[in-house]
Amino acid sequence: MNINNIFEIQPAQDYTLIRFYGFIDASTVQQIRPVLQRQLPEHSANLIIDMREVGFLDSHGVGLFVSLLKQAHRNKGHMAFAAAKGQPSSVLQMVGFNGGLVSYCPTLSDAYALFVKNRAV
Amino acid sequence: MSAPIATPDRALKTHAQTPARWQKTIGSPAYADLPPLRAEMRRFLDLAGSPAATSDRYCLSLCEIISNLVKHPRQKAQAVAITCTAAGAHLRLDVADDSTPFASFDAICKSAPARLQAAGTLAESGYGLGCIVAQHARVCYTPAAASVDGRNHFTLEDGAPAAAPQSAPKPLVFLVDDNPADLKMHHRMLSGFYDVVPLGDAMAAMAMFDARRPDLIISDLHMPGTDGAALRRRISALPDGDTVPFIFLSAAAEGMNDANLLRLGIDDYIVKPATSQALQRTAERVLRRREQVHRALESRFHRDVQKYLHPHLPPQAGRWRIALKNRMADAGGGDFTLHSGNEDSLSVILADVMGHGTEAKFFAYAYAGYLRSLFRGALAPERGLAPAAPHTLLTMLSAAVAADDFLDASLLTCQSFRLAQDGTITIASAGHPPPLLLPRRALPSVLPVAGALPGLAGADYQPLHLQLAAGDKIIFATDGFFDAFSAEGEAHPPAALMQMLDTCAPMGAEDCSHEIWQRFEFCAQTQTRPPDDATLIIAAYGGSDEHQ
Repeated sequence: MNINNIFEIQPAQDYTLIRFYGFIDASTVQQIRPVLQRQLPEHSANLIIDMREVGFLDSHGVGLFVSLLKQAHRNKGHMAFAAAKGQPSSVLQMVGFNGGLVSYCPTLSDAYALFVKNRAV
Repeated sequence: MSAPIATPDRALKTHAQTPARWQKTIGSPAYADLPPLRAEMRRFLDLAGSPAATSDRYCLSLCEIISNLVKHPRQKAQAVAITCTAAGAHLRLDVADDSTPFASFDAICKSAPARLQAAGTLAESGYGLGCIVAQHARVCYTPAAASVDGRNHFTLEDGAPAAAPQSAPKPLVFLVDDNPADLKMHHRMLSGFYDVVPLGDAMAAMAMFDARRPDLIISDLHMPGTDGAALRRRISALPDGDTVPFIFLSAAAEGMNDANLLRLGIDDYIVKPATSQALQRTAERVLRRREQVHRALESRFHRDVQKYLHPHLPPQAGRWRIALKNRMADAGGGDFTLHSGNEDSLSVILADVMGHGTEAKFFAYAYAGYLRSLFRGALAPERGLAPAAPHTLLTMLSAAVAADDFLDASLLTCQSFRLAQDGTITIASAGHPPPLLLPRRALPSVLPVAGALPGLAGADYQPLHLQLAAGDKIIFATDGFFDAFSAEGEAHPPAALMQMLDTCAPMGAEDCSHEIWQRFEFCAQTQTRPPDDATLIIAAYGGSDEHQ
């Protein structure tokens, strides 16, 4: 399995975008986690998790997001899920991340605006 | 990926009266099995006409069950048999395996409604079972020792079976008797009403008790080896054993008045030969009483916890007026406050333990007690010493959380502030939504106070010092409050809240809190999110009520 087909990281000035593809489950998270830890810049504070291309999310994926959330907060940043739909969206709702800790943005543009607006403020 | 050890037997039938069935057997499971298994089951459910959301739930649960089998058992499964049946709205998934049974699953499944809350504590693992239990109407784990085919079974079910109306599961009764004829006869008398497990001696009952927790034990008193009285004593010594109702059966009527037996705390004594009616009525009465006591205790627990957690602050502290509003949601985690004051200042801690339901409430209850103990000396020091500053309290908290695995497995946000009599306020925050400043003669604004969640490495809490003028107010709140005003994805602070604060500037603390809370309740009604605990604190300096 090519890890580049599962996720990609795009650092930007106000945020780091992590785009996931396909399944974020027990079969992929084991491979994602170490590569993500290596590739994600240590200072990454604001994270946008692009969920547009995610078809399936399980509890291992939720655990991965929790570790990203902790990194964001460690760096005094924030995390936003963008454009989650279908099954992944249901799982995120079920697990119930605290609305004060993460943002759920209906589109990727909303997530960009969230961090760019914060900079402007 | 492990190789399948049997060819998939997909015998999908569309006849209205016959359930469609998908069966699959695999060898030692691996994570790589998950995508193809999920795809096969989805195809089956699609063909069976299940709604997409239902298919999603079953696919997720199948993955979580298989993942647990890959990850946890001491002795891995060599064969896993998956059976999914669909008949109209009735769906059932059974996963049978030959691994070492999970000792804790039974207890988890029995406490199903509370299980998801563990998922809400933001540990990085442990969500799987919570997801399963939260998604299905009935979840059952039967370890090999208690199953008919000697395999562990994880069974999920939704909707009523088409052929049989949905009914509550029968209470589980252990029937223990060394006399095979009596055992058979009593089994026949009870089996129409209860799920009866016949056991030939006390040791078999002890072994079964490890695997399944009965709702009632009916035991012969006189048995060779370990007799009924010894069985009662041994069961009572086990965790939760003393709460299981116990009825003795004996041919000797004089045992009813035996002081030694009465001291064992049994629930009844039936003299053999027992009639069917006597046996059934006694069992029913004892089980009803147990249910009654259980409900009463649960209700008292909720009442006591809510009473203890209910945030409260003094309405006045020197020249400060303080108003507090709180909504304690059944489903939400726990908000709580701690405070301590002297003639110079009032120190307050506002905390929010994340999670939902009874388990989160219990966690908040435990957390509140822990923090009370942790901060006792720091908040109310011996005479002559100043209480610790807000940022010092948060540093103490963060260090304690980092050093304790139990606390680190939960998520708490916390804000600490001190109101001094000269109008200064010192605020520090640990992952909490920032407070709002509502000046008497200016626009409301967000105060720049932030800090890492307690327990994160290198957490460094910076205090914000502010001098308030008479009539100025500070608004503290938990995320459950702010969420009610927020549109999906909206950043803090919510625009709807800031707009209404403009009109509240001239008000005193009490009027202002009343006005805002009314709007909060209105907004909360229109929210689709499950209700969370919400707390609002308004601190007004200089007796702002007199300035109206």
